[in-house]
Amino acid sequence: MAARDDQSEVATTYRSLGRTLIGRRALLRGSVLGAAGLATAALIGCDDDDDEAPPAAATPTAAPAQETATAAPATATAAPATATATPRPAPARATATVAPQATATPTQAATTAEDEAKRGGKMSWAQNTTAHLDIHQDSISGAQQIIGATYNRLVRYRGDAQLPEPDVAQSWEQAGTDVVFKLHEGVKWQNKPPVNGRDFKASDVVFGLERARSDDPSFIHSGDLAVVDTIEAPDDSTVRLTTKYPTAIILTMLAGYQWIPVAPEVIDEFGDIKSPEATIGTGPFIVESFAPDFGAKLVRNPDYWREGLPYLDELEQLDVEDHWSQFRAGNIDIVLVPAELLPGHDSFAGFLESEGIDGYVYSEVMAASAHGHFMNTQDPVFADIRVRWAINLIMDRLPNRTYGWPIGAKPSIALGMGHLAFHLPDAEFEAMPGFGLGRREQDIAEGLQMLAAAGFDADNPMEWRIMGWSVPQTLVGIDQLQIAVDMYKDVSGNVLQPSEQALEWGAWKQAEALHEFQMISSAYSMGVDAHDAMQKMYHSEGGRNFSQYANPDLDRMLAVEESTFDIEERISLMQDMQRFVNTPEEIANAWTGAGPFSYAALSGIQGIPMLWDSGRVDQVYRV
Amino acid sequence: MARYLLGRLVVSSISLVLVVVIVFVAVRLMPGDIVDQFFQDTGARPGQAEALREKLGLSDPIAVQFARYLGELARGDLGESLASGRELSTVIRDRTPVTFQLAMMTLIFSLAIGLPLGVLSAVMRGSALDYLLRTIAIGGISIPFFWIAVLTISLPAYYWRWTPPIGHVPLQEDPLASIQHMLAPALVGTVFLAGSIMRMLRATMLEVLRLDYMRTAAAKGLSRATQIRRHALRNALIPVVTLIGIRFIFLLSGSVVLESIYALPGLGQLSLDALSRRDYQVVQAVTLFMAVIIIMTNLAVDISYGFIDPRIRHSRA
Amino acid sequence: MATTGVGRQRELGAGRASVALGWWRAITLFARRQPLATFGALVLLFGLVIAVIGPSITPKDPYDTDVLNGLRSPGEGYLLGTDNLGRDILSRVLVATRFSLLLGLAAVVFGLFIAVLVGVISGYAGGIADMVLQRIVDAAIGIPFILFLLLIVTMAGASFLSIALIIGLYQGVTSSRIVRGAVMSVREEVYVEAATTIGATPVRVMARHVLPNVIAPVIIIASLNLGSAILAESVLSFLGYGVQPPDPTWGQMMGVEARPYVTRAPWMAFFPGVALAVTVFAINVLGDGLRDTLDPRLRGSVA
Repeated sequence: MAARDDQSEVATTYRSLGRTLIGRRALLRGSVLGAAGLATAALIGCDDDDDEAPPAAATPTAAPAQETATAAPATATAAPATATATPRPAPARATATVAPQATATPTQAATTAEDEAKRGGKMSWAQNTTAHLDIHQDSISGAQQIIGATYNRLVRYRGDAQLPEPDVAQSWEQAGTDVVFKLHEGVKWQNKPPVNGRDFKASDVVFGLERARSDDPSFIHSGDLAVVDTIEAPDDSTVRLTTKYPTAIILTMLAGYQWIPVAPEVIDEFGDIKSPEATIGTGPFIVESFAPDFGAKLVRNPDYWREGLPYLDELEQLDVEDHWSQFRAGNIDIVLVPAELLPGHDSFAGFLESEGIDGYVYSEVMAASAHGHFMNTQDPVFADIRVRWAINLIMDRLPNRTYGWPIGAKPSIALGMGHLAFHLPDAEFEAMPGFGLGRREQDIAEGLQMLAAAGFDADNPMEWRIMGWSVPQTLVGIDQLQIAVDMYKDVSGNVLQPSEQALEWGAWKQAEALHEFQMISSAYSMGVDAHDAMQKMYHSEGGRNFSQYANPDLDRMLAVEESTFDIEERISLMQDMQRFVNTPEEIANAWTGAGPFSYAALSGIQGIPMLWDSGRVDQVYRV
Repeated sequence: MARYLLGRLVVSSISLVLVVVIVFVAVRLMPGDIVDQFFQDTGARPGQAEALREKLGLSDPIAVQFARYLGELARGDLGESLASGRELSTVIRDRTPVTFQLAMMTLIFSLAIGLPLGVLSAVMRGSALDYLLRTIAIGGISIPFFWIAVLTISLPAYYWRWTPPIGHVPLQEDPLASIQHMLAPALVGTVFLAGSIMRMLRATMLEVLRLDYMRTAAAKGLSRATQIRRHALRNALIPVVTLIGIRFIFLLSGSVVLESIYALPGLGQLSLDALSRRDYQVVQAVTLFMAVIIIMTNLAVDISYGFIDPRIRHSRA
Repeated sequence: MATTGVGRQRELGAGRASVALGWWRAITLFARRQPLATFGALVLLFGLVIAVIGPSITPKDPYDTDVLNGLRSPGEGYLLGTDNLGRDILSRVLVATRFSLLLGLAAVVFGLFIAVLVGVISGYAGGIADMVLQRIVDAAIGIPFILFLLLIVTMAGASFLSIALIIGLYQGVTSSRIVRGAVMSVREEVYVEAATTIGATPVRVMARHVLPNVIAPVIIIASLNLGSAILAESVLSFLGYGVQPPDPTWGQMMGVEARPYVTRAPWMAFFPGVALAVTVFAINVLGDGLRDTLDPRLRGSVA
């Protein structure tokens, strides 16, 4: 809403508008198409699983990871602190995990003259509606960025991959079911009553985590920490956490935006952390004001424990619709570029040129969702492995993938772009049956033979229904459905004759849960950790195992991979599983791919954080 | 008169209860609920979704839920949003000014355009101008206002890279900017409403102009303008007032579409959001709130009739 | 004015001797007196023709997607351009005609049934039945219609049938007042009283004397409701709550389909809207003409 001091400028600035819910719609699109999560959340890469993507069912897990190579100029100039902490190699081969040394000591970044020059200024972004700030009890509103700027957590995501790195924990040791975190010295709560800037203690972490995993059903994230057994604080600077079985992914889980420490006296005083007064963290910014559905203003925390940071004096979240036009009108500084604006452009640069306005730059944020066609292996038609194999061979992946991510899409199996480190290399996809663009004709011919063997040909076409969701106010799900139906007809002559089954999302969720469908066309968010993604989709008891795929071998591979702490080894095991599920005997899901979200920011904004929710917003500055 | 008022009041209350029942049942028969949304991605602990439904009261039989809801309403409590836990009376209070401002601006523009043109059309009856005005009026009620709304954004953006200002500035913050931001949607609504008013006013003016007292007025030697202003218009306006009462429904309902197109954070936008999230309480509360306004408006119109025309007062009581 | 109407009716029915000639004369008379309405009738007729033959005259397959070739501006190959999925807009506008008109007609027919049922019972029976029915009508009038429509359609699942029934029901209930009024005025007429006195059953009285007299308002309601039924469906589809694919509708094309692309492809919203606006305009001017011809007294009550 913002004061519009310069009406004429607003009026004469070109704005592309006309949609409500841009953010939401973009988000929905993202989810379907698999892009990253919540609009702005993802923009800065907050990992949130259940953002406000409402009926989309497929909520994107925004991927905190960002592909360094494609980073826009703004991001390339990351602040010195991160630059040293995370040396930005190619996104793969992460370093963190077993007892890493805490290199990210903030004090290194301390006040240099250069830092001083970066001080000051303000950054704004937009959300749709934000009801309250108690992130422990919320998954669908837009408080993530505010929380990310206000709180620290034990660990946060690296800038280039969805892998953990130190935040208030300066190091950790993981052995078996034990994880022991050593906290940074000198961390302080923000100077607001009732904590009044007191020292941060390990017991605050325990209190926060215990609250978040409370038995009260309103604490809706608690399922994520089901693997955690106990959390305790042996002393003021040590947190000890035990899991029910050895798991490498617990750290990635804990890096999520919702696992914030909370000071017990805040809950004593306010009962919850919904109000701006109760929102007190250890992070770089202090919530000064917050009005539900209208927005929030945050100011610099002068006592922030990372010295010299943050650079900006003020952050502002506006709860408004139509973020793109708000951006073009100059009301906000950073925005998710609606995917609808991108078709027809070969690159972001081309899009930029067509918009005809200088002064802003682009960056890609890797989303953690992927799109595919999921076949119900218990359905009479799809019970036949020959049919599933044929579908995987024949399908043209480009239309669905390009619709989802007009620029920058990639083939993928079960993993979103946020899990790039775990992806099979592009060259390997090209060689895989069904994925290779150079081998389409052979693949189609082979697929048709397979279908003929299963009893389907032009005289006896295979008929089935593809289920997709319809959500009010956006056609993303339906568009994807129609593209899929058309694609199958086009590539197969008359052999494949699918029809649309568009269900309103509530009905769709039910059909999905009861496995009352033949094939689903949708994108799903692929979890905070690559393991999570594969587990949900392929484990015999996975929460997203719609195809009812069950293979004890894969279950075992997942178990081994989960308890492997060495990151290189984990990556290699994950890649083996991707190969495994795309072998002819195992096909259950025909994946089309994944792609990035693109963000635009005013070029005056530098050091844009990849991980808003991890507190990296302290490194943003204006020039 | 008291009897008449009381009668109207009872009738209105019955209508209101019926609206509540219909809406209440309808939202609960929709597949899916807000709990699905909360857990749609991460998934819940075993039993957690059920427990949350229990806590929110969504697992009770509809009849029990309804009884509880009526109890809350009786205490003047509209309930809380399931998604945010916010008091709905507060939420609605925050959003109403936007919708109300849009409705009022539309109404004012419509009267400013519809009244003079309607009179002109009636007075010039049968002329080419009348024909033109009638065609315009019928065009106004035929051309989909939501189409015009999209075009006001689409065409200038495509050809001139300009659009009318989108979004909302609260009236108290900056009155001028606020009105400027709402100009486009209000004018779009006016296309329909002014057409409607023109048609009604023309029809009733024609009736009145034929009446005896008009002849008397003419015989008295009053100027044509005075005849129309003093005698004809005043009487012809009564049905127009009724029409405006009815069209209030359009203004409120239409806000769903216009607010969605012009990104105005009003009641329409609120209910669309809530509907897609299955936030039952919000949908119910907004519908109820709008129904109250509509019924009150109609009641006010009825009552004003009662004062204006004694025959109605007696016959209807 | 009222007498003129009756006179006109007589005039219209004058040529009974030769039925065919009579109809012809009635039509030419109508055309001379109501040129605009006649224009409307012709447009509507054209629309109906398109609704019937539309699917067979589309230049392209309206459902054929070509994602890599979307958002083409009107011109060569695609007279009205393509949408974001590369589908031909002209073909889709043509196909959608059938849906919009049929849905409107279905809603109106159902609505008339309701209106006559409720109106006649309420107006003729009076008393408690009238009381109860009129309270329901009050409630219906008090409902914020678009919101209510969204709600019910989401609940029932959006289909041709559900949308037509719900719009029809609403229109029927709200316009039953006009039928009721007509019935009440007839009821007081001497010949009805006479029929009752000589022992005619209420059903017979209604069928023989009351119904024929409400035909004029019914025709007028029908023609005026048709336009608003089509508009109501379009609003629903516009917001994305309408009928499910693969059927395109005008509202869906100009709304939920076109809005993300408003600044890049105005033709996506423009042409379906033209079709809708012209159709509704034609229906409304026709309805106006019919009203003036059949019963000008209704001018005030059906705006």
